[in-house]
Amino acid sequence: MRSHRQSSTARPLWPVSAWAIAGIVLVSLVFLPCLSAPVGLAGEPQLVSLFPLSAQRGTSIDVQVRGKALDSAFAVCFGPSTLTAKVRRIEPIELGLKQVAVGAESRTSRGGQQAVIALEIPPSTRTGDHLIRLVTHHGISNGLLLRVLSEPVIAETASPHHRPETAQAITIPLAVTGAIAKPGEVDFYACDVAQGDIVAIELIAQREALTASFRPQVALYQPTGSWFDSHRLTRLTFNNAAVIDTGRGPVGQAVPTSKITHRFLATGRHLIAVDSAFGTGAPEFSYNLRVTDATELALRQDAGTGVYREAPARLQLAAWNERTFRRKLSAEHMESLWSRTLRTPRTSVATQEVTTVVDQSPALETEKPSNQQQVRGNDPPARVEVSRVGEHEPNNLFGDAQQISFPGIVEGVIEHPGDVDTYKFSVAANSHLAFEIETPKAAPLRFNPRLDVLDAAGKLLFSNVPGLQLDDEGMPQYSELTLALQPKFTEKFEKPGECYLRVRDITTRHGDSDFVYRILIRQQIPHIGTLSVDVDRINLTAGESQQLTVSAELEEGFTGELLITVNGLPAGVSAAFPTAKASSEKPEDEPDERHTPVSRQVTVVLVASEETPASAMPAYIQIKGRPIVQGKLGPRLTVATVPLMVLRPAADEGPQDASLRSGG
Amino acid sequence: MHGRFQAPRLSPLAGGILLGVMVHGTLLLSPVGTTQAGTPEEAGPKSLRLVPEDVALVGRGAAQQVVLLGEFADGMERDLTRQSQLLMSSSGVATVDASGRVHGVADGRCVITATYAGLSAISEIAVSCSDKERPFRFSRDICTILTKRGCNSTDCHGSVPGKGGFKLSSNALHPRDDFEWIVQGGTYEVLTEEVTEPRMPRVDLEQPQKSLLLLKATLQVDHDGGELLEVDSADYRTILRWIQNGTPYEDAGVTKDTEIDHIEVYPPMAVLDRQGHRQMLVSAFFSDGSRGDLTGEVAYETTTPNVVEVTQEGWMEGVGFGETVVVVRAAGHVATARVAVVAPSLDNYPDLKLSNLIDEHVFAKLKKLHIKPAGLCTDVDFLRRLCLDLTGTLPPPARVRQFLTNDDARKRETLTEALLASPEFIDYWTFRFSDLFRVDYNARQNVKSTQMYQEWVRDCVATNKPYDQIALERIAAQGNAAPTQNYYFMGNRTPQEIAAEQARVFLGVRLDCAQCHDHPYETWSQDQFWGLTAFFSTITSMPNETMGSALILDDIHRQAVHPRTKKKVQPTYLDGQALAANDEDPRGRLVAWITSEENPFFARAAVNRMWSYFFGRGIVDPVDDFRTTNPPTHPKLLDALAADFRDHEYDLKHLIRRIVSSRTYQLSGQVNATNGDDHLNYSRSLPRPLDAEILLDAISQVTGVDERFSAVGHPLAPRGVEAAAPPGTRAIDLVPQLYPSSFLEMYGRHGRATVKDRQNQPSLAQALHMYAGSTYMPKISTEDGRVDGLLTGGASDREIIEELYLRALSRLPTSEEATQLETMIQQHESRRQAVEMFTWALLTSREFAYNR
Repeated sequence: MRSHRQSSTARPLWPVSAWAIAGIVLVSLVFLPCLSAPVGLAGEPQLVSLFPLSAQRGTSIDVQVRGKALDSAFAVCFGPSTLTAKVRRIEPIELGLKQVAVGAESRTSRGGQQAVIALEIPPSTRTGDHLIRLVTHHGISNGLLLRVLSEPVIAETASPHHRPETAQAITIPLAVTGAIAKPGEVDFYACDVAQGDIVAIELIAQREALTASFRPQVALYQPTGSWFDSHRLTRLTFNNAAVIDTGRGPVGQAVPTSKITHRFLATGRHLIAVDSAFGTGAPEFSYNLRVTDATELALRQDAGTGVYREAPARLQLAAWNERTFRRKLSAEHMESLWSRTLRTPRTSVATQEVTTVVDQSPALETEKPSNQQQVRGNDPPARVEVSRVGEHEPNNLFGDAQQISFPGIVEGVIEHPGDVDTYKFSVAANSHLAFEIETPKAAPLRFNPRLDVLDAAGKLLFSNVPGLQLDDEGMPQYSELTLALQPKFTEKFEKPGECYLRVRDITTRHGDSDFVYRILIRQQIPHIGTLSVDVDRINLTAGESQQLTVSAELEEGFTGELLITVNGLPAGVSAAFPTAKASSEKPEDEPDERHTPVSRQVTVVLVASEETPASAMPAYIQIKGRPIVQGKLGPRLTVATVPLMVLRPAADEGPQDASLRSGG
Repeated sequence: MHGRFQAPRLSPLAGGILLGVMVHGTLLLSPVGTTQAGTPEEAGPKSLRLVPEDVALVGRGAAQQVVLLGEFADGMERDLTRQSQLLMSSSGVATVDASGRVHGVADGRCVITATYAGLSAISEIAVSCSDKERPFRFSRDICTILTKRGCNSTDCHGSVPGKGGFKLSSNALHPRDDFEWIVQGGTYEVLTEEVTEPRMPRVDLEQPQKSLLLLKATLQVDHDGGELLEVDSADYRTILRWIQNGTPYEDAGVTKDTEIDHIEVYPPMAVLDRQGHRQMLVSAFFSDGSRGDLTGEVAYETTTPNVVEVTQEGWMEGVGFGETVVVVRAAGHVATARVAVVAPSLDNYPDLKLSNLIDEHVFAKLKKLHIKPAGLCTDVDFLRRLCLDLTGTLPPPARVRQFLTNDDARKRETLTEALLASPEFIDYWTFRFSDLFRVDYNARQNVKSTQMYQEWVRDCVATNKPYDQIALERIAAQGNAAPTQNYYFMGNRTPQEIAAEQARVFLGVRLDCAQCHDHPYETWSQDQFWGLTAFFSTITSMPNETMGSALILDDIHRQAVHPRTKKKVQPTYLDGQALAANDEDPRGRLVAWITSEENPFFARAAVNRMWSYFFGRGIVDPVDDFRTTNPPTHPKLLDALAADFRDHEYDLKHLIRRIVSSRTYQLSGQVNATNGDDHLNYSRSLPRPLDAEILLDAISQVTGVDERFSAVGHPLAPRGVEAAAPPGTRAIDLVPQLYPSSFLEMYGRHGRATVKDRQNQPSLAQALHMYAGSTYMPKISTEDGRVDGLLTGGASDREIIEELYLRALSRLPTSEEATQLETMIQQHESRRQAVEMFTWALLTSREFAYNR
């Protein structure tokens, strides 16, 4: 969505109206262009790849960290983690990727370093992703994610296993870390299975490699032989990830690229092959292959096909993201919306009728909200009743439409291609409603829910695909911005009356039992949406400044202000803010808020005085935002926690050696 | 001018070769069992028949050509009209001239009797309305003259821009336009209906004889086309009378009932002796179901004049052995006849064992053409041919030996099933259909989408997906399913390009020309083209937030706009039926129409294309150029195969089985006295050059040295990453744009940027590459390659020779070959060099580079 919302063309930073006291800034939210993903500055340490990408808890391993400007690395830094590590050695290498390093001079150079770190993973370490950064005399690096697993993790063997006959033997469950280091390389793994076994095979790679043309794919083979060749493999199934999302997401993120779940029809040795589509290869193209028992998953699937296909889970790009088809819509969702504005009334569920319940969320207690907020002319009721309705077939036609009320949740399934589910509801004049859609089982690109709101005469009023609405001349309103499937839209109903809600897949060709939708219809709640900052670490030279941009998405007509605070700054470092008068006018090219939130940016400048001493280890600063409505302060919302190091100017000596320890 | 008449009934076998004896309308006067000496022709006919059997002449001046046909002992039918005695029972009702042309005189009935060599046959004549002029119609009376005289041919005024400022629709396809251009002037505009240039009428109502239409045609003023009319000829007078009458479009009271629906040529397939003759009959079928004779009112044209010559009266003469097509053009209509000129009949024509419906049709025609087919191919030939055709892979030596020593009478069927079930079959047919469906890559697309699309093709082959389902998925793909990648990442193709390509792939017709103007060689109109395009104009690409992906959907508000009328075009099938308004699944409806049993194109186009993969040419060739003027060599075979394909639910493997199990497919390439010149009728196996990919894979297979395909200029390479196909990757697995290869390009690899035929013609570059290129000798002399292994592994000269023969040619050397080669190797100063030279000779031989 974001990529289609507005231009990323660079603009001069907008002057901001603000007052600032010791690292606090209150801003009238001002439009600034979205900036690109966090990048490092020239000369900063930059990590390119980790090897291996995963490790088993309770073990100790050496991890190779490759990148640029790592020559002075002296410590390893983690986020909240029980991991510990120390730098064993640093050696110069030639990077396989030309453009992964930042800085103009490095784009044409492949020279880099490899730091080998000794990593301790206590048995108590939580499984999941752990961020690894290196601390150098040039500052702190970006982070790359190491995945901690409960099952054994092995590395691919040093001996060649690029042909079926030399495949590396593995057992299940297991994770293997490997790399497609050379163009055209294929890594073969052999496993023994029994007929009826159901196994999940998952391939994970790092975003940096994916951005640099790594197209990891996995295939499963049975060595059947053929009339021509007794060693011939027969491919049973293949990398099923339809699309690799390489363009977005935090730096260092591990991305699931392929997942196959397979029921074996024959006992015996089978082969798993990992390679990169169309033969790309480089030393940084590391992958993590997980092979696990998937019997439980298979029980939920059709047992006849032998192959189960899943799209990789969508990435969560920020801690708060309400514009995704994967968020959970429930009464708690409404409550969390209220938590991002001034008042937080309690909500409750009063189930009216449930015939198709997709997710059995526990009913919430009914409780009166503590107070009320004006919501675009709609006073929130003292007691918010969230109805929950399951669809009744047949409901394809308006005459069969089910009655629903709001706030309410509607659940249904587009059971077959061409299936249409229709509901009806009544609105009062000047109602401001929000429509949110969740697809809990099959998400876009597979299930692409189209939600239309029509008047009693069947005329299309609103849609979650705004580009398909017609203008006065009956033509579609196509544009780069509007022809997109939206998980949420807000509308004002000027006239009272009965309306229809029509749900279907946007195609006429697709539909099955996985095409489950959940729709929340409610009054609008003006609130702060996603908050983000454009850096993932700060290396600040004494006597200099660095600029950060905080982006805030304003949802459902939020018109208040946002208080930005920066806490945890080391001594000698302060936050400063531009002082020019802000403009609150909406830019002409800003899209309509109905389908996308209004976005505003705030600039924060961090200044290190000349006397500021160099940091021995990074400090973690907390950037927070706080809505202000009619002069009253709302809850604190975390924007980001970012490591910061102060560096001395180049003429000075670097920081003293610090003890090698994990950072916090 | 001839009056309208009730048309004759043609033989029930009018659609095909006449093999049997006609009964109705034929008098068998010859004694049964008569024995005659000499050639069949000298011996005289066994029976006679006069066609048409019933002649109805309606209106003043109505006429009908009749033809006397004699059936001879050799199975040939010969035209005896001009040697026979033609006698009318009542000359007051109708008359007949020596050429067999019957003219109505007065209302009544009579009988015409034709007598030859003691035999005779009759037809009944009915004359009615002999005193009534046929109502005038511009579309028939004037356009017929323009067509017969060639004025509206595509190399004259029927070309797209017209000629000399005068435009006519090709072959009078659009008489209303012709009428306007003649009477008012003006010419064709591609993008508008408005006339943008000065109009120059071609008629002069004040001085009709000074009309340009007449002055030019009679060469009274300069005319690049020469003299086409004689002053005061019948056609001249018709045109003059029309101008004198004020150039009406048609007489009052003319109804659509009198419009020509279609025309037919009799016989549709004819066989002539060299220097033999045959009169063609051309019938018009009117909207009201009646028929009329057009024999004298059409233009005739032969595609191979050195085989058959034809006069403008439809009188054919066989001038050389071979086969040709005679194209017949009437105003707004085209029909064809296939005509063969054959050698004298064979004594003791072999009684062949037929395997299936293919053989029935192929051998029936061969017999008719007096061509004796080659015998069955050897096991060696069959094995190599089948392996290459089903898998693109040479059989390994052990399999060759095994097959040759196998005594099982059904070993060919067993082999076929083994290959159909092999993973190599999936690889090979994925390659074939990737060519057809254009698994392509260009810089605007995500390489992943190319892969998705290729995987879809592979899945279609691996699961033997019914062909109608394949068509549905490719044409009507929606969402983000793999076949949708066909639509979005292939160079921003326009709806009209998509429509033209889908029609070419699944209907076997080339509509591209009709985008801007009516098709010059066919009856496809610009309106039909845009009606088809409108099914695809609804395609909408919705970007998805995930990079490089998009959703495909149909938005029915996006409508095609006709470039000339500027009006929105409703999706309309090629048969003229329009899609219901607001139908949300136009492409799905189109596929339903395409794949319906009634559709005349889909199954025929599919089987024809598949046929071409096994025989090197289609029954209609080029395979995607079905049109009236490019008729099939075996129309009944094509229909039968299509019906069989439909009956078996569009099962491609079934179709392949049908083909490869036929005797036709299993014929040898042996030339005999009768089949040497035959390149159309499958009387022997014709060697087919291996496609570039197959050839390169075969060289790698024989030499034991894999080709390494690196991605120089790889689309991913600009990011600083090198790419190469994994070791062992075959050329057939590649997407051309991703892996350039000088060898493959040189040998005619299909680039897949468009749907086109492969070019497998030998070239000088190929010859030079054989001598000094980077493929042959480097692979042969590679250390650890096959040759090196044989030389260093202790194999004897004989063993080396046999091994390489088996690998390259799938056969053992003859004893003569083996002896000579052994001698050559022993006498050469370097054994290695001798063996390498021998291997090079094998790989550059025609026997290796062709599927024989």
